[in-house]
Amino acid sequence: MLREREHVPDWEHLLFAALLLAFIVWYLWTAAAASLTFSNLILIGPVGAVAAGLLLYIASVEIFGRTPVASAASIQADVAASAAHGRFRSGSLATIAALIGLFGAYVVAIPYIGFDVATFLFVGATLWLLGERNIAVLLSLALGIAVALSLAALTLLTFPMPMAVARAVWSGL
Amino acid sequence: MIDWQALQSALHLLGSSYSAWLLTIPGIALGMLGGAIPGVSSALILAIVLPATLWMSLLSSLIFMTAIYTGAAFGVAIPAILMGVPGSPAAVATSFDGYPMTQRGEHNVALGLALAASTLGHMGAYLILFFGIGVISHAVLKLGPLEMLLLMLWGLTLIAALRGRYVTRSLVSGLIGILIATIGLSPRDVIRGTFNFPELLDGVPIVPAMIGLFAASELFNLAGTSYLVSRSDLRTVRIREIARGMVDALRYPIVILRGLVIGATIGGLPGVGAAVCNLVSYAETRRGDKHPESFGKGNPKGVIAAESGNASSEAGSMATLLALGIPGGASSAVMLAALSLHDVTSGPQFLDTSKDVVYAIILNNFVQGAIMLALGLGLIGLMANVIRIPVRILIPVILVLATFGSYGLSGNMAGPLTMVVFGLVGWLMQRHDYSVPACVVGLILGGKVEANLLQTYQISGGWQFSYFAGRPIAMVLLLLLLFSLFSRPIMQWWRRRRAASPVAL
Repeated sequence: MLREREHVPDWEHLLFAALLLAFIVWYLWTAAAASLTFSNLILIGPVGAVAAGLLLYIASVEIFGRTPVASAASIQADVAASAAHGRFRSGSLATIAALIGLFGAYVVAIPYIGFDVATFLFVGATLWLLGERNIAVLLSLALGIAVALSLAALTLLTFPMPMAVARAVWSGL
Repeated sequence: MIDWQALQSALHLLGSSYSAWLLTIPGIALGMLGGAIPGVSSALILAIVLPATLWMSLLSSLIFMTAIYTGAAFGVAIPAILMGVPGSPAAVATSFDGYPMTQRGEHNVALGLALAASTLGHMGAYLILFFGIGVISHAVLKLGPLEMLLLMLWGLTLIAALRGRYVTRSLVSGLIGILIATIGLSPRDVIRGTFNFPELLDGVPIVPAMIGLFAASELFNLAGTSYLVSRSDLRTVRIREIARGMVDALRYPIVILRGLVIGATIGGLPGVGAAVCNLVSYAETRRGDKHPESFGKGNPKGVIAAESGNASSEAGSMATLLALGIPGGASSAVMLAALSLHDVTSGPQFLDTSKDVVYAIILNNFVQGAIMLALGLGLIGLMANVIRIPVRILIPVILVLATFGSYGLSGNMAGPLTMVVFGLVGWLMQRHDYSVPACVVGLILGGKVEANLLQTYQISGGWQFSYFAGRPIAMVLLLLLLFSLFSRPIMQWWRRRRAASPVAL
């Protein structure tokens, strides 16, 4: 007799669902603490409750493994997704995590080291991370993009963007 | 049926607004080139250019964005035909017969078929909208806050039900989008969930959040991917053969017509949009054909059906967007945000008071069809090469542009920081199959849902039954909402029951 394949919960998904649930509970809590009136909670009360209930259901399916019957629409979506990615080599998780880290660091660093320098470093580092090993290409692209966008920021934006050197160079010209 | 006065002032608007015309050509070119890069969807391009529309007039920005949308409808077909890689879900059905044609060496004919079908589908669907918008504008004025509330909830449910692999997860994304939209100062002056950041009092900045959800998260996903360009993918483009393909397309007017009617009508349903229209149009054409087995093996009708269905869905979703203020999908969600940047709330009132703007957009889109034809022919060589731009160059460039744009919008680092946070959230959502478009639509509609709910509560005198009983349209909408929520679970339960019960006979 065939044994049913043992169900292994996707712990990462469970963690994500738990984070979403935590956000909902926290949000409802602070909103209720701010004002416990009907008009304040008229939308977010029911919406939060339904979302929390659905998340608990999703988590129970993930833990106990009752896979829902696939519908025609979901199969269609699967086919579409696999067709779209059929000839792609999927990126490694480490590369994606590093890119997200770099991007976060870039945005946080802008007020401290300036948009010009941060952009140069971010583009250079990202090109290296994603496999560009030709140093001349890497440096010229990073410099070109940093110069072009800094110029655009100095001339187009009405709000001053933090800059390290670009503003001094621009006003000196 | 046609409001001649509004039409006249639309012509005047278009005649006096040269910037709108100046933006049409670069818009179409940008949509085509962007759409031709696999992995870059029209929503991603629109999200990146969204901050720039702040410096345009309302009409110019809408025309610029519809031009991008129009160009992308053909652009996504190029990698689908040349490489068998649909640039976005909108071109999945195009690859079914387009790529087999390429393998037979008929890629130029296939490109011509796609260009002609996209153009005719696009123009035909806007023609339907041109004649229909007068009727629509009268009909939607009858909708009160209760009907609008139910329509928004129905739209959200449909998006969740049609777009994701798991309906429950997509519903959760939509609901969380609504919750995030209510952060900040409420209509009743209560401060909710701002983490004590004064920047959040006005709510989460929607446009940077949207750039994060649509663009940054997609780019994170693309990291480390490189599509495999084999020798056979390096194909020469011959204009003469493309022109032959375009003439060939005219031999199948019924296929084009069927595609454009499907696109214009069901494309108007929230959640449907180009991604579904091309598949439905393809399936319907195959079903009605004498030789259904020839589809998937390089049948020109397959390419025509898919492309005319995909290109015509724009007009349908624009109708819903302008008349009801409800986005049909990812791209129209970005356009709705562009409207809000101009302090315009689209919906019945907007359609009633700004019919000239709506007619101007429709008229400009007729011309867009012709421009697409010319630009498509002129740029096709460039587009066949653009699909080979390495992803590693694209990713940092677009991320930096997105940062620049979101800073330009907010005027401080709140914009870029919001974008990073939502980029991460969007990537996690995609990774676990929680629908990102559903979340964005929830985020955009959340404020309106709350306002309409409060208004309904007041008008109905605190949920008086007689108010609801006297509104038949609302009852129909409620039934539709319940149907789209529960039809799938009930069908699943029914199937399981039938499967479990022993077979009689």
